Amino acid sequence: MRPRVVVALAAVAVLLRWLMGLWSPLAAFANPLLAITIVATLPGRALPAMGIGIVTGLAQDVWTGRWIGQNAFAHLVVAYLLSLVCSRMDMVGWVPAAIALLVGSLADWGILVGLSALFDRRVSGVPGPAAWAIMALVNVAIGLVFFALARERSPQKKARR
Amino acid sequence: MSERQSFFVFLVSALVLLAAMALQVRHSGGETALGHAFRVVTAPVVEGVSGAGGSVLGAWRGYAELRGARAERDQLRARVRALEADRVAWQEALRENERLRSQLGLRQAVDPSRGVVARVVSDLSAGPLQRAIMIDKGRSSGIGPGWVAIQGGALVGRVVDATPGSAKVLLIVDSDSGVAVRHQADRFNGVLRGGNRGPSRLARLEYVPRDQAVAVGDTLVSSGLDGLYPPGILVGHIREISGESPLTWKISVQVAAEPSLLEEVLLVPPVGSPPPVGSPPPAGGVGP
Repeated sequence: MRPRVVVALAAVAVLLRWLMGLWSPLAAFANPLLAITIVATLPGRALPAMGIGIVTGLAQDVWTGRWIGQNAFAHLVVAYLLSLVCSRMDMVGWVPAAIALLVGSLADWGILVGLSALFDRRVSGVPGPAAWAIMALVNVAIGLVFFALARERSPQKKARR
Repeated sequence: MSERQSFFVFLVSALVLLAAMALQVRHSGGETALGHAFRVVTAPVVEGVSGAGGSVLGAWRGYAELRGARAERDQLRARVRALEADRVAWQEALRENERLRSQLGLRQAVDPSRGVVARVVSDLSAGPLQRAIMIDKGRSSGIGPGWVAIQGGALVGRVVDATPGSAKVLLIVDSDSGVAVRHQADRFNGVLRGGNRGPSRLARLEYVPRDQAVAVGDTLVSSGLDGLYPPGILVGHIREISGESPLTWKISVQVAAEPSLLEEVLLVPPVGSPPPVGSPPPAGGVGP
């Protein structure tokens, strides 16, 4: 993914995050910044994906005001593991992208819960399977929109050249 | 870049982020979170190593503890009886206090004349556990950590962080929240914990013994025993009761304030804070 596209998507994500802040249930489920990270892992290059993951995670941490590094760590782990998988197989397609978004979203919540447990915070209030499923589906939908935006720009640029 | 180099970058970044988190978090027991996390990670290894040579010692200790178990049981029974007597006396004193307060016409702990109305500007909820909102009033309006947010007479949460122009309110449905509550009709106490089912209005009521009669729809109000929230504020209604534990009820509570519909909240000072110097006597008005 080109840096310009990442910056544009990040701006869209922050705007989306702000809009979702106006309606509580959606804000708790959706994570457009994570979706950017996952879309960035699809080409299979670990270093750029991890960089994007740390930046988007830190942005999320600043936004939500919890421990700085919590979301950055979760995004980093998701970015590294997914980019490892993506470097071994072609994931630049709609179905693989959707699967990556699904797995990445679930892993992100799992890592956040794990961090809470590791640092002795309350984890007894972990939501049930339905909440996890809704969260994953919402993030897949957002991620596929980002995937489409990032994907359609490349052929146009090539044609211009 | 090779996979080995990528892994090295990943490892270093992950350790830096974990260390950054550990520096921010302090364990409830007073030790640093870094130390606590280290103990959590290394505990299985330590247990495995020490367990190999500790089985004989463990058997001896078990025998020694068994010998002292009977005496300890008798001591504990006596202590339970003493605590039960204390609890009854305390409840009686509480009821007497409430009767005297109403007879003397004492003011409620919540004084609306010292309140500040703030607009909800954003929902800070994120992830599976966090439920919070941001409001448009902060330190410049006199608001600081500990101020209590109320909407329509129902408890919303409390301020945990404030900047000059804004403040973060941790909702009572957040997994880190705990509110000391009281059954409005029967006057027994419990603790309301957030985060029962993720992003919803549901919380759970803990520490209600099975011999206590409860019913769906019963009203809960804050008791003030936690020293965080003023007493007598509507918290929510019992929605579901089940008896999975042999000792306590498992109670699901629907909080009265709907987090997704919050537009404005009334902020009142923390419990026990002195009135501002030179303030006029309360006349029922509400500040901006």
